[in-house]
Amino acid sequence: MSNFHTFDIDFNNYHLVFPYAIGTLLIVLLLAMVVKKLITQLAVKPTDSSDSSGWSGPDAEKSRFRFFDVDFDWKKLFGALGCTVAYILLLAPLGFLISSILFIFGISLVFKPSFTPRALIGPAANAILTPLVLWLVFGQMFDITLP
Amino acid sequence: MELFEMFTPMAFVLVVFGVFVGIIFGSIPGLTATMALAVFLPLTFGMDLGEGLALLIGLYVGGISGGMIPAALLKIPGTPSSVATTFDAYPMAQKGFAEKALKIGIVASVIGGIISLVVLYFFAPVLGTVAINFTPVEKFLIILFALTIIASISEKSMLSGIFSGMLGVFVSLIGVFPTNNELRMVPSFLEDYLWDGFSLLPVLIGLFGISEILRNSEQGLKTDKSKKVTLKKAKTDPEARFSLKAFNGQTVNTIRSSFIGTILGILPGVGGSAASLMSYSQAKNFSKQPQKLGEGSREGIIASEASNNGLTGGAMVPLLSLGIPGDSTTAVLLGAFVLQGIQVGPLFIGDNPDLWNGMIIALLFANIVMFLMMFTSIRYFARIIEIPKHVLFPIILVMCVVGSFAINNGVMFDVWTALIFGVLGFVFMKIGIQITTFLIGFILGRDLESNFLDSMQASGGDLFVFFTRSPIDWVLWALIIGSVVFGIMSNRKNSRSAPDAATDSAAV
Repeated sequence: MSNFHTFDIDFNNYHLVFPYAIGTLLIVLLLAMVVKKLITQLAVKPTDSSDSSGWSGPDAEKSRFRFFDVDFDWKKLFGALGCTVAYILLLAPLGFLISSILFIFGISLVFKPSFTPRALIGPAANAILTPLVLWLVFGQMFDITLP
Repeated sequence: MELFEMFTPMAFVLVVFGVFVGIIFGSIPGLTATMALAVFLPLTFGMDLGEGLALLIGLYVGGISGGMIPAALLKIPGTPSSVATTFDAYPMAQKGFAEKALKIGIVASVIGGIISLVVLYFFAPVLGTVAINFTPVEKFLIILFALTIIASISEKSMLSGIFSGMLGVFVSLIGVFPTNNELRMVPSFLEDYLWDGFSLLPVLIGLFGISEILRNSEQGLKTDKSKKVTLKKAKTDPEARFSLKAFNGQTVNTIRSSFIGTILGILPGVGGSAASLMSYSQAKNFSKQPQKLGEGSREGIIASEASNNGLTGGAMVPLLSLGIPGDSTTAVLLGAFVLQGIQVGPLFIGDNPDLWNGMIIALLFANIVMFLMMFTSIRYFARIIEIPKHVLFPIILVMCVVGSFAINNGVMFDVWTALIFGVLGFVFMKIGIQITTFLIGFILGRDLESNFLDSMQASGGDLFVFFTRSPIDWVLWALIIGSVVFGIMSNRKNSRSAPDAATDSAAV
């Protein structure tokens, strides 16, 4: 390096300039955020505990670090995720129509669990019609590659 | 008229269809205008670009406008840009004037949309001609400015905003570096798939389609109907009927709000929620009866709706003249251009006059269609919010999968990309990384890199080139520093005054 403001890197290593630069920046920012968070917490805690409202302080702290919502619907969340993963895995072996019909039917049950024969008509109709319409519109009308 | 050669009858049909579907997406809370575009983007694959854009523009205008329906009836913004509409439209609806509230919103929307269209039409070409002379140095600085301004206007802290943008840049670097053909940051078993990095469109579909659905399923797909206001009441009451008199004395407010929306739209990365909130607070500042805002005042509805439709045209200015998307929705529009292999940037308008005119007509037409459709049949649209989500969401998920599969003509890895970014987007919402900022960083990351390295090569590696090349650089530096300072200041102000104003991170 000739002097401090000269950028002097071999052409063969050009592809590494940005990943390193941005990576460093990200780490610095992350550290800054952690430090900031610690500072605000250390600053907040004493005032909170001395506050007359008593337990609200620690409670609020707890909810701040909660990842999922308070009473989140884990069945629907992971059900939806699981169905989608299964769907993508089955797309290639089963083809678009069959796998989509199975998927819509399955995920409808996840979203609205009801197993009486009458309640099943809606999801079933949806499951059969949607892939058909999509297949017609995308695959046939617009000639788009379907799985 | 040669204009109509580009704008075919098919395009007209597509705009109408787009507006209709857009209103549906806009009016269902949890489905956003951006999602509508991301889901329908693959359909444009089979069309020519003019028609594809017509469809997407229709979706955009319809989606932004449709958001007012649940805002007025359920007090839930249907799409993030209608946040401020809830403040006044819902109280007004509670008084039995739901239809009037919606119609005021519709008229304000169409005015905002048309004003922004005029600004787009005259301003974008000018900016484009200025930008033609930009060297990599200026381009680099403009992208830097885009990233700082997003971070500074973002609703959460400035620091996390910059982090989100930089993370987007980082992820965009994955893959091969075109100049010297070296691969970086790719684990060896994924080399075949990630040679070109993640493709933009599956990323979009994941971030705006799948992650929203995951977020909604976490909340259990509940729609809170307890607050619902019906449209049917008070038909006999003359005060409940809408007439243009509602706009008496509101001309200044309407125009000001439209311009606020347009200008915020021009600033890259600033979403509709910021536009509607800002023009709402301006309306309150200038109002003769500020205490009435929030209790069902027409001023508030006008401010919010004029500005969020003003955004539509404004957001296209930087997209078409600089190649930088103005908000998350125009980022998807950028995807449509990429899909068709057309370069957006300073040369776009000059090189594609037909397309440019076609877009303007599509935008104008979309606004008119939106107005006619919503004004005449708002009663029927108001019932859309009753469509159960458990019917819609499976359909949307299938479309997300089909879309990401079809985009590169059948690459299964793209579907996985969409799912990965769907889950990532969901995690981002939780840990406070802003999705829009991340996305803009992701889109602009490669350009940031190549412009930096090009200016380095051109100047023999002198880093001072970013300050010394021309006076434009100083202006840009002033803007960058200004945006950072503004961000820090408004951050301070916010954290001091109202910590409860934390909008959902989904507000893109």
